[in-house]
Order: sequence, then structure tokens, then C-alpha cells
Amino acid sequence: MSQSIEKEVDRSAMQVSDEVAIQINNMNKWYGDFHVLKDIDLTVNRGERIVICGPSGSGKSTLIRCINRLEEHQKGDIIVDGTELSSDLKNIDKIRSEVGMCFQHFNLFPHLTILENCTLAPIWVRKTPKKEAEEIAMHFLEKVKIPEQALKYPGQLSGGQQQRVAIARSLCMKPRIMLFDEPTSALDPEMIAEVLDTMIELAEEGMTMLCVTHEMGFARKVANRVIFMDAGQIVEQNEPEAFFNNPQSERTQLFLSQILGH
Amino acid sequence: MTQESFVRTEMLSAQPAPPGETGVVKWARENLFSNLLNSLVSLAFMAIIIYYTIAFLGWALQPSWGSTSLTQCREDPNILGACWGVINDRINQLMFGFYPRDQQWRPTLAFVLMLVAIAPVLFDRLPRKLMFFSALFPFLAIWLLWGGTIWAPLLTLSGIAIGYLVLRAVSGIAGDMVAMIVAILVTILWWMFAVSPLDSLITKTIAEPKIESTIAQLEKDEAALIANVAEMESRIAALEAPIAALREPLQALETRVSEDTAVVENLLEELNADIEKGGISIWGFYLWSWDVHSTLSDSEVARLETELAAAQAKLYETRLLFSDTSKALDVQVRSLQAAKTDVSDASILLKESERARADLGLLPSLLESLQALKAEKAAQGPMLDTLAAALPESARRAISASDLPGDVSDAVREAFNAREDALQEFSDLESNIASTENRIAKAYLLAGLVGLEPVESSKFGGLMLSITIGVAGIAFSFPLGIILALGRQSDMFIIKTLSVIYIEFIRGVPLITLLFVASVLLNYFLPPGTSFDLILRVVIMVTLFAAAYMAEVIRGGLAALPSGQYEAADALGLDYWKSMRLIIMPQALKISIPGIVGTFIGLFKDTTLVSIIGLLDPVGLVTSIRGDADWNGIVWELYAVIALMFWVFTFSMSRYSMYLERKLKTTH
Repeated sequence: MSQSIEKEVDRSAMQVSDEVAIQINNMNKWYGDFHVLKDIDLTVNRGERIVICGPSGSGKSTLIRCINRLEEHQKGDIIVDGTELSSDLKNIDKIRSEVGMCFQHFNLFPHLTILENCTLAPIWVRKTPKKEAEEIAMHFLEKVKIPEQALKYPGQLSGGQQQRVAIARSLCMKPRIMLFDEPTSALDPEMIAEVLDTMIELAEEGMTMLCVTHEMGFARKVANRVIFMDAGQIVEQNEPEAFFNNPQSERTQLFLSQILGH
Repeated sequence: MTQESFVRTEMLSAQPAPPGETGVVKWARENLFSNLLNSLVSLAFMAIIIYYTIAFLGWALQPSWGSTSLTQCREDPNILGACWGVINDRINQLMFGFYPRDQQWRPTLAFVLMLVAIAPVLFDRLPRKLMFFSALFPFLAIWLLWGGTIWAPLLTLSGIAIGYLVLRAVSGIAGDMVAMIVAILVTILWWMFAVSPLDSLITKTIAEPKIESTIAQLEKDEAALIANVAEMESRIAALEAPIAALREPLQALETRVSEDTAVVENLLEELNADIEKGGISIWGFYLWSWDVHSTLSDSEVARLETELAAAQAKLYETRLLFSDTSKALDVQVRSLQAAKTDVSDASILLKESERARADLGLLPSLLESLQALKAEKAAQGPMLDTLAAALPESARRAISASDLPGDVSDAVREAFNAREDALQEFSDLESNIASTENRIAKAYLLAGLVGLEPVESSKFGGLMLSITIGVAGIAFSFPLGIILALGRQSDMFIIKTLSVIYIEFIRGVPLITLLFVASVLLNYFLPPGTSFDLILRVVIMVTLFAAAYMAEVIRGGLAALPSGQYEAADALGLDYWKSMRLIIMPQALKISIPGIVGTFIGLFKDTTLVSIIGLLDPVGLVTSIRGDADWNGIVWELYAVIALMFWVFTFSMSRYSMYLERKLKTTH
């Protein structure tokens, strides 16, 4: 399951500041009668790289989707960059334009070219002039190493390339926080590496990141905190070394033995 | 022995396919004759297709384009199938209905401009600036088709400009939503209250100084017309003498022809008298025939044959002479008829001009009487109310005096009658006002205003009517359908419920009933005296009908989109309208293209239903054409041509949708 990362990670710019980026207090969510998230408390400081793992159905995706209000929580508060998430549409749009998100299935817009995918939000949300938006988009496409695909459509790209475009698309909005929802789960092994490399580069530049992923190699090398969730609760959180080498809870031990055991 | 380990050192290059695996032969083998059963099926269907094509062509390829009546077709031995003369005779009507001939350039121009206007919508490679014309086109088309002065459409258009300016001004102060609402309100108010008075103001200022000179000009034209008519009448008199002179020799020739024919026939009879014929026939077709025997001697036969040849030659010459003379007479008669038509046209023109001139001279008094009529109408309103108030509740609801309850007093009965009279007077006043307004408008138009001759809706017909209703229906039902589809998907309960009720109601009702509502019932719902155009009402009904279907087709497209698209749009911070416009709709509409075009085609074909409520679309015209004595009983030719007309349009639509689907394909 875990992917070997050949690249050496440069940790020099990865600094965690005291400033709070995301504050979640006593947050609960239900799907109808089903209690998905139970009493979640989580504080993320600026510059932190957090990996969230856990068995399927444990609520990890739901947790990060609550942070940009793709899912609505019913109890408790979520404060992102000092703005509280409520049903106020203005706050929601403000937070969404500050928080980038990458999905398991990329969700690129198939009717637009790669370049148009990347310039759409800057032009329509940030009101950036078209030319400037295209320059920004090309800058980030170069960063994810696919500038030559700019005029193609998503359907003509491989999965790994599409996920890198999705990352570039989020970066074009100059977000202060990036959320990754299982970004490599739908990819072939050959492509996972290229996406992880891009994510590592992002981490090296000091981006605040929350990743739901099963890439334990990535967690070990990049994360400064690993969170283990089960049944809608945070079961354990620790630094990667301690988490992998000396898990405290039984549930974590079982999970790690299954995921690393073969 | 097999090699156990192997490493490829060079990659193989591509080779041409073996012969017989490409081209026509392969295609035929795979698609027509892949096995015995398929081959039999292919051959059988080919035979059927060929049989019916030949049968159809045999019917259709007839030299009947010049015939002037169905009887003529039936009597002509060369015409064994279709009688296309009816198309030749009535094509103008099938295209334009009863639209005045000298004004038909207007719908034609409107059609050409429509092609220009939809081109940038259909093909995105054309310059975007052409869209400006597309936005102007509806106003231009309405003016071209219905006519009138140019000021009304210009003022209507200016409403949009004013709305835009208001939008710009207000959005600086308040939010986008408020600005939008204010701008729409201002535009509607402008249309309701400013357009009509401004129109008449402009008309007055421009036309009034010209009235005197127009009257003088009209008088001069009329004098010229009168002189013209007198001259034509003398020409008619001159024509009548040669016609009379020709008639006599023609009659003499006719008797000579019949005499000569009799001689020829006698000789032929003599020759054939003793000849008997034998032969073989199968199913009524003679295959061979021959003479059995003859009683005449050879020399007699020879003499008879020479005589016959001479007689035939003589008959031929007489006939030639006869036909020449009758042709000459025909020419004369035709020019006489033409001259007579000219005279009657000229006198109609003269009458119209005189009437218009009289109205122009009367213009001030006409305007005065209009004012007076309007004042009277305004005064009548409250009087009607008082009269109604004087009646007891039970009597107020009665429709006529006979409906009154039996126990009412004479006083009530009298009051009721008084009210009835007042109502009658009121409606008379209204029609009076309308006709005065019409006269004033025509007089103004004469006085040199820029404008087109007004054409009433009742004159519209033929393919032109179908296209007008079809194009308007398509243009309005598409956006309405999108809004309804979004409404049905909405989270807001009221909007969702209303959309669902609307869609389910309209889809559950046949279009015919809606058209009847448009033609009959709508007038009952509107306040008395307001009647708006039948074509407009039909367009509204067709639009409402098609929009419900459109909404369901588009909803299908929306449902087919993966939810990830909505989430990605949300995650980027796009608001609802932006994500719909930029992300969701382009994809949903692309998925629904076949359904949307299907709805468009259905709508266009459904326009033929308007024939049932008395509008003269091509199908409605068939009845009136068959009512003509010349074409009584003709069916197939007319319907075939109408089918062809509709097919041209619907086939273009379906080809365009296929082009669009290919163009929008963004995968490999």
C-alpha cells in the first residue's frame, strides 16, 4: 500500500507558526439519524502538515469536507482563518476562496481546457484580468510540470496528470490552506509518485495542509502530525515517528498492522 | 526447441492490412452479406426499396407543372400521376398565406436576417460582435413582419438601454440583486407608460407640418391616376373591335375543321370496314395483334389511302390555321383582361387615396374626436359602477334580462336594462376608439413618416407563419426551460413546488387544449376591451408548452452530471449562478443536446396544430386550396410539398445537433 518516495524531503522551510489556521471545537455531524462525527476538537496551526488516516467509514473525508462547508455540521464551531463557518453565504464563499481542495476523482471540468480550468476561478471569483490569470495559471502548471498540456482537455490526460492539474487549479486561487481528500486513491502506482512529489514540493514551501490519505510513506516523511480516526472520533494523534513506532491505542495498532503488514 | 528466455531488441513496424480487409468489398461483406440469413434480408429490403422508389418516381415525375386545374391534369393523357400544377399555382400562398404580395419582401428579408442573427449563436467561430445584431433582431423582425412606424420599436429598444444604464447606476449604490430588480422594473414601467405617449408625440411633431403638402401631393397623384384610367379605358375600347373582328373567321374555321375531320373519318371507316383484327392479350395488355383478312382489292385500298393522305393533310392545315387564329384572339383577350384589371386596381388605389386624403384633412378633428371618445370612456367607468351598485345582489349576477329572478320589481328590471345599455355603449365606444386610432395612424404614415405599411395578423399564413411561431417558441422556451429545470432542482421549497406543479400540469395537457385556451378562453380572463394578438397568444402557449418538456430534458442532463462537478465548483468559491452558468449548464446542456433538439423539432412540427384554431399555416391552407373549384379533390401533392418544407427545417436541426455533439466532444 505505501509508496516509496525516492525524493529527499527538504524540511528547512517547513515551520509551524503559533498562528491558528483552523479551529474546530466540539463539532458534531449527523447524516439523518446516523452520527458521523462525534465531538471533534482539532486545532491546526499555520504551516502544519496533517495526515488523517483511518478505516473507511470512519468520517475522515467528512471531517475535511466540513472545513470548506461541502458538508454542513450541526453542532459545534469551525473557525477558518478567523472566520466562523455559519450558514452565511458570504462567509462560506470567502472561506472557500481561501481554502483549496483536491478530490479523489480530481473533478476537473471536462468541458474546459486545462488552462481554462485553472483560470476560471481567479477570473470569476477574484476578478483577475484574463491575461494575468493565464500567467498565474502557466506558472503553477510549470510547477506541477505539465505546462505543455495547457491547451488539452482533461479527458486527454492520464490520471496522475489530471490530479496535478487539480492541484494547480487550487493553487491558482493562492489558497492559504490546502485540503486533500484521498488524492492518490484512484491512481495507478506509477502515477501516485508524481502526485506525491507535487504534494511534497508544496509542503516544502510551507503550505498548511490537511491530507486524508493511506500513503504512510508520505505521512512519515512530510507530516508533522498524524491523526487516526475511527467511528467518527479522533482516536489518536501524534508525531509520525511516535505514531508509527509506538501506537498507543489498540485500534490504531490493529489498523497499522493491517496496512503495513504486507 | 522453444527458446526459454527472450528479450526484444527492436520494436516491429506497422504493416499494411491484407487485401480484401479494407474498402468497399470488406464493408459490403461485413455489413450486407455476413451470412446467408443477413444476405437474404439485405436483398429483400433492397428489392422493396427499389420497388417503392420506382413507384414513387413514376408518380412524381409527371409533366404536370404547367396545368391550371385538376380537371386539366386528369384529362391530359400524358399525365398519369401527380398534378404539380397546384404547387406552381399556390406556392406563394403556401409560403406567405395572404400577406400582401407587394410587401412579401419583408418576411423574406426577415428570414434572411434571421439566418444572419442565429449564425453567431450556432457557430462560435464567427466574430462575437455579431451577437449584437442577434440581440437586435427580434425587434427588427417584429417591425418588418407587422409594420407600423419605426418609432415604436426604437422606443421599445431604448427601454433596454435605459434598463442597462439604471443597472450600472444602481449597482454602484446597492447590491447586484437590487440593481437587477430595479432595472427590470424601470424597463417595464418605461414600456408600459412611456413608449406609447412618446410614440404619438414624435409622430405628431414630425407629421403635422407635412400634412398640407402631403394632401397636395395626394391630389396631384389622384389627378394623374384619373387621367391614366381614362387613357386605359380608351385602350380597352380600341381592343374590343379587333376581338370582335377575329371571332367571325374563327367560327368559320371551326366549322371547316369539323367538315374536314368528317371526311377523314369517313375514309378511315371505309378502309377499315372489312378488316378484322385478331390478337393475344394477357391481363388486359395486348401483346401482339394482326389483320385477319380484308375484302377490298389492292387497287381500291391504294386509292383510298391516297385520298386519306390528302384529306389528312388538308385537315392538318385547317387545324393549324384555326390554332393560329385562336392564339391571336387569345393574346388580344388577355391584354384586354390585363387592361381591365389595371383599371380596377387603379380605381381601388384612387378610392384609398381619396379616403386617406380625407382623413388627413380631418386629422385635427379626428384627434379631437379621439380625445372626446376617451374622455367619454373615462366618464362611463364610474357611471357603470353606480348603475351596478343600484342593482340588488341577485340581479347583478344575471347575464341577460331573461336570467333575472322572477320576483324582481319593475324598477330593478329597468335598472338592469339601463346597465345593459350602458355596457353596450361602452363596448361600442371602445371599438370606435380603436378604429379612430387606426385611421389616425394610417394618415400619419401617409404624411411621410418612416415606417412600413401595417399588416394584420390575420393576413399571416403559410410556412412564414410556422417559422414565426416556431422560431419565437424555440427562442423563448429554451431559457424558460433552463429556469424551470433549475427550479425543480432547487432546495427552496416554494420554487421547487411551483416548478413541479407547472411542469406536471403542462405535460399532462394536450397542446390542442392549450391552443383552444389561447384562442377562446384567454379573452374571458382579460379585462373587457383588451384583446391582444392571436399569433402572440399562440406563441405564448406554444412557448409554455415546450418549456415544460425542455425543463425535463435539461433536468435529465443535470441529473447525469457527477456530484463532483458541483463540489469542485463550490470548493473554488463560485457562487450558485456562476457555477450553474460556467460549470453545470454547459455540461448538462451538452448531455441533453439530442433531447433538446428533439423538443425543438417537436415544437416546430406542432405549429401545424394552429390550423385547428383557424390560423392559416400550410396545413390550414390545404383546406382553403381544396375549396377552390380548380383544385377540388387534390390531396397528395400539397401534403407532399408541405412535408418536404418541414423536413428541410427539421433535418437541418438534427444535422446541426450532430455537428454540435461532435464539436463538443473533448475526449479522445
